[in-house]
Amino acid sequence: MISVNRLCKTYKVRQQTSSKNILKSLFQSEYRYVKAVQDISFEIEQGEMAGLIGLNGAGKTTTLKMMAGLIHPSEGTVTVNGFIPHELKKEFLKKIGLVMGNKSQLWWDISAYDSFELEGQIYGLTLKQIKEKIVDLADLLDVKELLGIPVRKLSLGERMKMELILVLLHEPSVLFLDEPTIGLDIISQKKLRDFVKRYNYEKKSTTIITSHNMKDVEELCKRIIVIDHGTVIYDGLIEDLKKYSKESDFEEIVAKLLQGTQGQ
Amino acid sequence: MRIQKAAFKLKLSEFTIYRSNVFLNFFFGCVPLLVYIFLWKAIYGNGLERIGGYSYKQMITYYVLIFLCSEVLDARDNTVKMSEMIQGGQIHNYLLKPVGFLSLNYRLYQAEKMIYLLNIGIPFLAFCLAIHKFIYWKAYNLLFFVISFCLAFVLKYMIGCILGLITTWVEEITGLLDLLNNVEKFLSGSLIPLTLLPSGLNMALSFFPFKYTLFVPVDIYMGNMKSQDMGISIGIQAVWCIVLGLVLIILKNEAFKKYSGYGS
Repeated sequence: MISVNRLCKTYKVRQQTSSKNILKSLFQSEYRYVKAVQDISFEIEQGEMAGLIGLNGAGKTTTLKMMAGLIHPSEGTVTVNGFIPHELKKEFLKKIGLVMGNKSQLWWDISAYDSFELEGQIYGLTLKQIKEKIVDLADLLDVKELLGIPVRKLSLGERMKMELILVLLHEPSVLFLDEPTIGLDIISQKKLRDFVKRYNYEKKSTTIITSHNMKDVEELCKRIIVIDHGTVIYDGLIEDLKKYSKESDFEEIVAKLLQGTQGQ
Repeated sequence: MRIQKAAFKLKLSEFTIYRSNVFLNFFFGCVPLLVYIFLWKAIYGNGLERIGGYSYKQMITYYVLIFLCSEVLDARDNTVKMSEMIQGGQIHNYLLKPVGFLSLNYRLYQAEKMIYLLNIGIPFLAFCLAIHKFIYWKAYNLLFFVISFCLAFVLKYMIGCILGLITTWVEEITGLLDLLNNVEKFLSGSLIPLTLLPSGLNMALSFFPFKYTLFVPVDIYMGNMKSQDMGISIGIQAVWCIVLGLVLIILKNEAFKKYSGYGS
């Protein structure tokens, strides 16, 4: 179970200096404070799949990073299966998996298989277990033939599938997916979604997805959390949102919801 | 040990891609050694038997060993990579692994260096044989040299990591890295044997870690140190390892508290 309580994150960002003040900036830097996440609270049950959506810079990825333990919250608390994520305890790290669509975790110049082997060893799997899991997952994702090819020679869709295999080798019970279908064609998107759905169903994993692709969220999640300017503007079932909206298209509904807050 | 084995395998696969670059760099790195042979021949040609406690052959051997040690111990690539990972956010890949960031990074670094040493071993010996007339073949204190070399390896790694982690605060470390590299070249005995420096300055250098990263192991190998001095030098190396290790751990903890996961 994931519990997020009054979570805030403020970044201290160094200001770009104008040419006028360039000398002054050598001795004194100017900073501004950016509130990326402001007072967010929600809970996600074990086995639930929820979508975090919002515009660029809304605070989705920052929230996800705090849940994964990558960054420390400025205020508020997060607990994931009873652990405080940013403490990065071994037991916690063994239970989570994070896929970032725009950040590869694979070793670029060598085959995905070599990356999987190291990953498996890091999580304490035996060589036999690693091999079996790789074969199973590669079979499901239809990339068995590509395991020996250097990652840099794979297409984006093939690489994303490999990223998923890497993260799922240790069977995490909590899965964070940050824009997993970014840049993929519709067939690859569909395959990836089907796979994630199946994994969630079989392993009863708690899964949080951030995506700009509403199809991902609509197909995979029952519940969405819409974030705008660092705050939650909707937290509930997709079905309910659809019920009370004049629009029938989910993307339109979300766009209206976000436009509403933009106008305020 | 299993992780170390997998890291070794992974780095070996990576090495096969870059092997031609590695060998070319190594061979071109040998060129300055040929210059040293002629330069010191001219200096010793004035009837000098020993300079700074070294005979002509010992002096050439000193440079040959310094070349080998600095090639193997060079941690610049790791520092730059660490800095880029912090800047670009790829450090996520290490942070969320249950073995710990430094532990994983060190294993990969160690594997890379072992592969490098194994691969340049034969070309290095061939080079030594080619210039065998100028080499002082007597190896003193081989066991102590190995101990001192291993401690120097750890020291160089830690200095590099400390610099890499500073990226969290200063964002750009290239200038700092270049400055340190130049200072280190002089203070570690890479340019000239430290015994050629005035004794006061040489004494002052004992209070910095750099002398213990190159000069001390090579001087031990050359048999220039009394056994008591050798013990003291190795002891100081070990103390530096502990001090820098503590600094590194504190810095790592502070860095990741401050880390904001830019780049994604």
